[in-house]
Amino acid sequence: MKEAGTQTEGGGQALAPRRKRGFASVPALRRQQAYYGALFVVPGLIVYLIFMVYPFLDTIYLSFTNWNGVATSKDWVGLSNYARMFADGAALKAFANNVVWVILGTISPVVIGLFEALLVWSGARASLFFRVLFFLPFVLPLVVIGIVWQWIYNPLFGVVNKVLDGAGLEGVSRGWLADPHTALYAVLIAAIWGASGFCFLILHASLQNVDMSTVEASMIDGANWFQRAWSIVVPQIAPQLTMVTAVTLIGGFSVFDIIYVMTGGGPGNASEVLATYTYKTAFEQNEAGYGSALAMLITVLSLISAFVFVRVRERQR
Amino acid sequence: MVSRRAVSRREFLKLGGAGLAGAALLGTAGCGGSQGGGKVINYFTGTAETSSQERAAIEIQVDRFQKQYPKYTLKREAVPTENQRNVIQTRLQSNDPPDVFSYDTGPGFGGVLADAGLLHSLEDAYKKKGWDIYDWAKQRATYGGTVYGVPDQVEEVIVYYNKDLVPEVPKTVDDLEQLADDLKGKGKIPFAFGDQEQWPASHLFSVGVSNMLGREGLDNILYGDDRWDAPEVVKAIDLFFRSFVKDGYYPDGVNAITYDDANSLFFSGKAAMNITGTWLVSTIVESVRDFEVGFFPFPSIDGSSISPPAGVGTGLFVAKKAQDYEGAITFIDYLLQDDTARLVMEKFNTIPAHPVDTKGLKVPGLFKSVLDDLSKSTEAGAFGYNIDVLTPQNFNDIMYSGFQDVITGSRSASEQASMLQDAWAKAKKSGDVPTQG
Repeated sequence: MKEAGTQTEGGGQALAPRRKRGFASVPALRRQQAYYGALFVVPGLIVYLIFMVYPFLDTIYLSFTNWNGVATSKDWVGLSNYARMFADGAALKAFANNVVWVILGTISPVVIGLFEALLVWSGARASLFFRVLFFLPFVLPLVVIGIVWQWIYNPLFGVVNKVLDGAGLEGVSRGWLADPHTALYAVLIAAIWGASGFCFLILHASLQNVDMSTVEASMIDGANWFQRAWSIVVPQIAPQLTMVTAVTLIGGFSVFDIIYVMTGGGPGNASEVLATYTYKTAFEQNEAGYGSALAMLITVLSLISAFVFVRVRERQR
Repeated sequence: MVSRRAVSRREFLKLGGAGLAGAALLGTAGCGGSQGGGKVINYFTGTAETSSQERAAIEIQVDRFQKQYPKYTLKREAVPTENQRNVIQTRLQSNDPPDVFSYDTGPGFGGVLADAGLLHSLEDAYKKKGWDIYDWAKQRATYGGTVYGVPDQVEEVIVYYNKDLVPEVPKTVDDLEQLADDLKGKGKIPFAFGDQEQWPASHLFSVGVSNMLGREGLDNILYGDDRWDAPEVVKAIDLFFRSFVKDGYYPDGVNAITYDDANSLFFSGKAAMNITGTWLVSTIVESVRDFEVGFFPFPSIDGSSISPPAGVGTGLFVAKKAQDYEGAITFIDYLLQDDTARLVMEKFNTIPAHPVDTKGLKVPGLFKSVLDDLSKSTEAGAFGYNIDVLTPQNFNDIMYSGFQDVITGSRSASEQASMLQDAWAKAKKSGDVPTQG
């Protein structure tokens, strides 16, 4: 049986139009692909422009006004909202709390999540049970986590105080969320538990791609568990580790829900962070202009920290 | 084997269109509504305290109204009270605002909306319908000389007590402290107080300053040039948020206990007294089974007057862009009718802000006593003020977070009073304080 394109003449004639047809179809196909690509992208892009880009630009504009959030008039006040921020004790206190939150709230869940992922990955007994246990916080909304931990800390019926009282440590038990010295850290513990589920999930998945031959080689060379984890495994999951850390870090500057649910920023403003302070300023005190300036501060801090972290990480690599 | 079929652009658009139409239909269905006929009146309000009260609210505000006015359909949209503020501001600025809504009457609430031109003046409606709201109550919903709201509830902050635990009503704070010490000795919590939400402390503050300054003294601050850092104010703050805390009259960790949890301490008999508003009467009647509840006004502090805070709770307002202004007025008028008001009193144990014939009213004894006590509220001078409904939000924020700080010892009573004065001066400067007439 003759194959198409093998004839000297007729085949040459047969090949020519086929080739021509083939070359001609490439741009057409690309145009078609581009058309369908745009068709699928445009709805998402429109939504993004309306619900993300426009409000973002509008927030920048509002941060230069004294709008109260309700009135039709918005007077231009220049940089005065930004100048006010640096003299506002409550904003500075919220910023300081955010710094604590970003440091502890980024390092802790990543370390805990990494440890949990390594534990399950290294084939510990009952790994299915631990997998479910460590994954659990990821499926719970932060608001639910906040409510549950609020009960755990409750001074009337909370488990923490009951356990402490039962252990004869009545002097230690207290209203954990009512004490200005413990409120922020008590909320932070709940948030770290919540965030560890996400870290565990990503890092556990990334561990499935680790080159086992290098791990086995290091075992033969006598490396212990920690040495294997630190020198062989962690470098191989560095991109995922960076991603997890960056996401947690950015979330640290915009944290709102769990604090709002558990303490509302109190007692006083002991657990206030920039996002809760922004919310109160913009929506409770009717100072939408100043609230917008605070929102811009959160955005800038998140962007800077994420950018710096990623750059440092890239340099190390 | 699963066969694959390419979807053509036309089919894709068809499917997309069908999907969108379906979503739109579902969305419309999800809006809810009430069966009735004719013109739709949109009513936006806060959810009732309990599910049985919510059912009663629907019966009175929707079913009964539609039966009396068949040409209207009332769509009642209820959200948790704490969310009302954020929702209403946005809704009023939209092209689909509620026609009529219930909202706080203070300058930081209704006043802000009136200033922004989002409310319909009710001057004509008052004249046309002859609504007989108490003058002092009407004043609370009057901004810049124009009346915009119809106060629908009068409240008083009192001390509820468990009659099994409190044998005699104290006449002075010294008596009260003696009683509290005795109760502590019996393992009871003297006062059920929780301030996690921050606003409950403002009621205690209202009780304190109302007694210490009396109505006139408060008027001199609110409408005159007297100051919030006066020694009487400092004394009131110190008593409730330092002295009572130090003496262990509140449960431990008061800043982490919610208002509801604190009330539960009272309902369960673990706490002997509860300083809160008359809005709690119906919940007390529903929840307390094992003992009898009485109430008394907070006693004299160092020889002060006894002027329990009283005032207007929420009010009804009509949106400037209401689709059906006449319908909104008809609905308000219906709620103010004597038989509707009596029904509301029986079902919710709340006190209307207008005279109502209370003869033959089927209400619990506790509510009857409250009603008798509050009937004095028409007599100016007998009562103090519930401060946070009169003061602007920047002042309230200092109250809310500041009292928590005093409780924890992070701030002294005099520092808190100074900060309140600063916030007041700032609000006064920007014209955000209430006016008397």
